[in-house]
Amino acid sequence: MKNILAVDDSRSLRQMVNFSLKSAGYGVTEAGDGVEALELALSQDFDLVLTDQNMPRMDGLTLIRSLRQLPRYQRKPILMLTTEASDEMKAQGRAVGATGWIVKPFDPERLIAVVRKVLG
Amino acid sequence: MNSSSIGQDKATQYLHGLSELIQAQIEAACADLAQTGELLDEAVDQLNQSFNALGEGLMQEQDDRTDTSPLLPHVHSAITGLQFHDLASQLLQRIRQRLEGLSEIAAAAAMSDGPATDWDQSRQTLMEQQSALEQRLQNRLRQQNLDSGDIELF
Repeated sequence: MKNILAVDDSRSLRQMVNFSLKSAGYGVTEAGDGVEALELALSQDFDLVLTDQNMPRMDGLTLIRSLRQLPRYQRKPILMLTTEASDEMKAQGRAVGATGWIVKPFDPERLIAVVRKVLG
Repeated sequence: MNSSSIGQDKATQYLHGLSELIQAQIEAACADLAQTGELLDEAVDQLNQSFNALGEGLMQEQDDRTDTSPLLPHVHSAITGLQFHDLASQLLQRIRQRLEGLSEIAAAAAMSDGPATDWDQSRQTLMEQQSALEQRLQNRLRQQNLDSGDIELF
């Protein structure tokens, strides 16, 4: 089973992501912000990270930048799931190494399709 | 005291009164916003609990089926809909920030010192406060309807 780290400061949003991905057969671990996600990513090996941008303590772009510095996560898919939809923010995401950008609210079927695609 | 300084005193009093009125209304509006947010959180918490119970039931039912449950599209639709709580909460937060910014501007306007006031300086301060507020509110929520958002792979 592929394991996914879902990072969002909204508990209800994490539940929605968790339910959607579990229904497609993925294992899901939740984190409430970038700091918690980084600690989890250091202690466990996730196949994919799905992160929000605007969070307390550490935002999504900083998390992606930090993960890309770890050998284990240099090639792992990392998707941003956020309300931010500007080209400028997407360009920043691409620059720090995001694999893709999903604007909230997400459609579960489309989310699952993208996850399948980037996980190969 | 000449008529000009009497007029300026009245203008200053009027400005102070107006500032106090605006700040009181903003304070009441912020309290209403906070209550709206709490009601929304409570309602969505209950919806989430119901949704999770229904979802778990559906997943168990799904395990016993060879085809996809006809309820699944409705569950997915509910997932998309429930996410608007997050978006609505962010909008409420932005409204609160706008009102707080307006309150700061109103408070600054009340600091004018009658005839001794440097009105050019006051105008400059107002513009700076407006600019600082817009900086804080830079990130706009784009979602205008209940459609799901874009997906882009790099």
